[in-house]
Parts: sequence; C-alpha cells; structure tokens
Amino acid sequence: MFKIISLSKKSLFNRKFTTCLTIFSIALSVVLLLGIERIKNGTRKSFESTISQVDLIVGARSGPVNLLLYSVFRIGDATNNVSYDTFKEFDSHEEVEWTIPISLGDSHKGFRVLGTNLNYFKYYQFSGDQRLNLREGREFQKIFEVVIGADVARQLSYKVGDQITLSHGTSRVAFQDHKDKPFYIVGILKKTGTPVDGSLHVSLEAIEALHIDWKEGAPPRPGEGITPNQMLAVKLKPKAITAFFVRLKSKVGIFRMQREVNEYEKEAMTAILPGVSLQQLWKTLGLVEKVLQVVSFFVFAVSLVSMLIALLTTLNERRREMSIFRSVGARPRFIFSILVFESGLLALLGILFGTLALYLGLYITQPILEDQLGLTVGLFAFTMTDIFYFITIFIGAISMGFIPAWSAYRKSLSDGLIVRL
Amino acid sequence: MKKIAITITDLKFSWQQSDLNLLNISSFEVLCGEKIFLCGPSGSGKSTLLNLIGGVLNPSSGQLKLLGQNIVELDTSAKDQFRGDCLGFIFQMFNLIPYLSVVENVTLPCQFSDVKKNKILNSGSSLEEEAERLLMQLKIDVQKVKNRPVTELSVGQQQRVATARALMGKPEIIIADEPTSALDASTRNAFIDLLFSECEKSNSTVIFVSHDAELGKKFDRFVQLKELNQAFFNKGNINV
Repeated sequence: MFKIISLSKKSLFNRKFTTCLTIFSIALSVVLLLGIERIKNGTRKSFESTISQVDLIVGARSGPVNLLLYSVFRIGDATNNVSYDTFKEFDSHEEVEWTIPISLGDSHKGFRVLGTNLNYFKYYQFSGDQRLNLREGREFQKIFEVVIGADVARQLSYKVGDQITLSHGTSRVAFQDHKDKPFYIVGILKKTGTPVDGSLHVSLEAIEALHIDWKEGAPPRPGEGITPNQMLAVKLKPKAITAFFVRLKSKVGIFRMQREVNEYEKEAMTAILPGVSLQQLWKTLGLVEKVLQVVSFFVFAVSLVSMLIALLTTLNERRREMSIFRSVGARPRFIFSILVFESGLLALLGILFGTLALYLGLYITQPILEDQLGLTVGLFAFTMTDIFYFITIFIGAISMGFIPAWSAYRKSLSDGLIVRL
Repeated sequence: MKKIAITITDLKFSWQQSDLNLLNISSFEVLCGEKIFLCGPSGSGKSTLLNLIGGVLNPSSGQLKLLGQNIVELDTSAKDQFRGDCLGFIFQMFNLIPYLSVVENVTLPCQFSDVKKNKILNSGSSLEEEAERLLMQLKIDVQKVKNRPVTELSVGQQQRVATARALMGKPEIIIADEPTSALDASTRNAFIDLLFSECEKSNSTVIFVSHDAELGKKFDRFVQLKELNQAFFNKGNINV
C-alpha cells in the first residue's frame, strides 16, 4: 500500500501541470457546492429572521404573502388601511402583550417612510432576540423628527441634525413632495441586515400631519396649508394605519386570535403568522437557489470529466511504465490500484484546497457580506450537507478513476511485457 | 553438472479463437549461467516467447520450466511473484519510470520482491548502496546523475541504469529484449561487455534477443528463433 501511495504521489507530481489543473477544477466545484450551500443557509437564516418575536401580523384583508411583503419587507403597497380605532381595540385586548403599528405610503428618495410609535424601538426584534439599537442620536419625540436606518444614512450620507423632505407615494421619482413640512434627523439605527436599514421612521402623528391639510387626495394650494408651527399646536390623532404587529401573552392563543382578527365584523382584516408566511415566501424564492445548486453540480461533473480526460490522455504514454512495473513483478491489480489511487489523491487534494479556498474567501468576505447584505455566513462549522458533498465528490472521483484504471488494467494484460508503440 | 535454467517441452501457444499456433517449440534448454543469443526478426514469435517466459501469457499446451519450476502450473499472482523474484528484464528503450530518480528506478524490483530485497540486505549492504555499486560497475557517475530526472540521461546511460535494475538482487535469469537497438556501434559493444561481466559476477543466465545477428558472436550460444519455432515454418508455408 505504501508503495502505491508514494508512486502515485510521484507520478502525479511528475505531471504537475495537468495535476494542478485537475485539482483546481475539483477545488472550484468544492468552493461552488459548499459556498452556495453557505450562502443559501445564510440568506435563508437572515430572511427568516427578518422579524421575530411577533406572533401575528394584522392588516387589511389581502393575501398573506402580500401582507408580509409590505409590512415586513416594505415591498409593494397595502390594498387598504386598518382604522386606528380597530388597532386600539386590539392593542388593549387582554391577551395582547404588545403591538407595533406601522403606517406606510410615503417615501424619501426611494426609501420607505414608516410611521410607528415608540414600541417599535422597544419591541421590534430580528434574528431571534436582536433589538434595534441607535448608532447615533435618539428616538423621535416630536412630530417632525425622523430616525433613519443604517443604509439610508450611508447611501444618502445623512447625519444627525440634517433636514430632509419626505415625498408622497412610494415611487423613487416622487412628484409630490411634502416640501412644506421638513423633517429633522434625530437618530440613526445600527445596521440590522433587515429592511429596517432602508427605512425612515417617524411617528404616526407625523404621517397624519403630513396629510392633515390635504383635500381629496391633493396637497394644499399655496397659502392654504397649515404651517409646521401651527401643526405643533394641534392635537393630532391618527385615523388609520397600514398594519400592526401583535405579540400575545401566551402562544396558546395565536390561532384563536388569528381567527378573531379574520372574523372581526367591523373591518375586513387578515392576520398571518410571520414564521409560516416567511417560509412560504422563501419556498417560492427557493428556485434561484435550486438553479445555483444545479449549476454547481454541473461544475462538479465537468471537473470529474476533466480529471477523467487528464488521466486517460496520459494512459497511452504510460503503457510502457505499466509494463516496467509488470516486469519487476507487479500484479495487474497493482496497475489498477495505482490509477484509482491517483484519482482518489486528486479528489482529496481538490477537496482540501477547495475547502481552504472557501474558508479563506469567506474569512475575507464575511465582514463585507455582513455589513453590506446583513448576511451571516457560518464560517467554521461543517454541516452534514458539507460532509455529504465531500463524500459525493470523493466517491465520484474514485469511481471516475475506475475508468482509466480498468483501461490500464486491460492494456497491461494485453501488452504483456513487450509494448510496441 | 550445471543446473538448468530453462526447459521448454512441447510448448505451444495460440490465441484462444484461432487454431493457428504462433509458437511451437518442441524442445529447448538453457543452462544456468549460459548466455544465449536469440536471433529473430519481428513476427518470429519473439514477444510471445518472452511473455510466456515472463509468465504474462499462458501456453496452450506444453511445459515451461524455469529453475525447475513449471510456471505453467502456477496461478497468475504466483507467476507475477516468480517473475519478480527470479527474473530481470531490460527492454529496448524507455526503460525507466520517468518520475522516479535513478536510484529509485534501480531499487524498484526490491519493492515488489522480498527475495531480491533480502538477498541484498543479507549481503550486508543497503538497497541504495547496492544500486550505487551496480551503477558504478556499469560506469554511471552516480554522484552526477543521482538527483537528475532520468529523462535527462542519454539513451546509453538509460540502458545501463535499466541493466542495473535488472541485475538488482542477482536474479537467476536476465532477459534482454533488443537492449542495444537504440545504441550506436561502439556503445553497443561496451554495453554488452558490461552486461556480461556483471552477469558473470552474479552467475545469471542471459537471454539476449536481437535481430542484429552481428552481435551473436560474443555469446555462448546462437539460436535462430526461426529454427526453434516450428510454428514459424508452418505459418510461412501457409503464406506461400
């Protein structure tokens, strides 16, 4: 056995170039297979932990995915609103521990503006039990104060104290600005890796104030509007919100509460369980990851074929080598083993270098991934899937090695000791 | 009386599908220490005979005794072992494993044969020492070529390294298949002289195959394979 190891080692080293190429292609497929697995898990984890600790999300009657998309991901728009009174009713429901109201519909340079109350900073959680933290400044207290997410601050280079104008509607190119009512940035949130980063947070009263002097969906004509100073004097009471998050005192009541919302008579509403809906949504998005996986399997197949080619093309010139081995007493089995062993060695080295490259790559890119995409990619733990891939690659390579090995075996039998090339 | 190295009795060989004998030798004997020149053009059954003696082909019928052992009776792996233990081969060209060093090439037989290995170790020298000694005897400047790839050696040097490998562990029978065909006239004679002196030291039998009858003069016995192999005549008759 030892002589097989040392001979195939030397034989591979003798063909450095093709050996390196083969190892490289196997390593590449290892990087792809494992890397995609990592990213897939990372994205799913951060996706599914976009919001946590919330038992129900309640909004006007619509499909669950739609409700999830606009309330959590701030994608798309609500079909209808929920009246503030209804929200208040559920807020003071005896089974409810806390609620977070959200009011959407305005934007700032493509970023969504979210009206809420201070419960948002107190209770909003993601990735299990991570809470929102302020990087700078404080929470909003007065009407024209805004707390911005980390991405908003970074992309628009905003800092605490800056004055900004919100726009009506959610399109990036807003055609109606709330120019008459400027806001002041009082706080910047820390990066969360969730849609919170791309949101501007104001109070529910502020949303109300923005539209208080609007008549029939149109902004006030010049001179007719209420000035910010007048506004501060008016006692503002929100009329409607878009949706609200509910945390119950006991998990046992979730389904009963969901039914209660769905069957609420005064208003048509839908309540969804965020965890379940997130998984549903992920499944529909999962096609992309399947495609990636298929692609990386193809890369793996190509790398096996390139190994096969690398071994097969050398076989003819190695016939004499094999006959020399035979002449000094090697059995045909030895010829077979040496080639199988070579492919096994190639696979092992490929796996080794691939894994090293992957970890090196992740080690370098992880801070960037985490900072830019909020993606936490597991660095040091091998999952069962990784080990499954290792075994698959190894067994695949060995079985591919059987083809040249068998061919060499047959050739060495028919050539005997005297090779005529 | 001298021991007998090779005895061939009624040895016939044909490929399984055909009735046509490629080889048919009724009787042939080689004594231990004898140097036989086997002259045969291509197609005279030379490769077949060497593969039969090497034990990688099975005869259709007959006996083939090497050192008293009828190798026809052995199973395949015993044949492989026998070949490794008692025979040494020198081929026409490209005799060396390209990715092994000169010394590793020479010591290669000892990796497959404990008999050869122990013969050397029992004589009191290590495998490397024995390899270097043989190489030196064969006029290879060991220190110079030791760490160079074998592919950088001249053809004459390569053939001498191959000879050293064949002589490792003093096998009883050395089979040389046209070892000089790639050498020029002067190195050819020097090569044969070196081969002879080394084989005499280890008392090895030499079967030297070549189509160049000129070389035959130096040998104890000159054998025309055509005359030995009756199948050749039969085949010739058919062709006519």
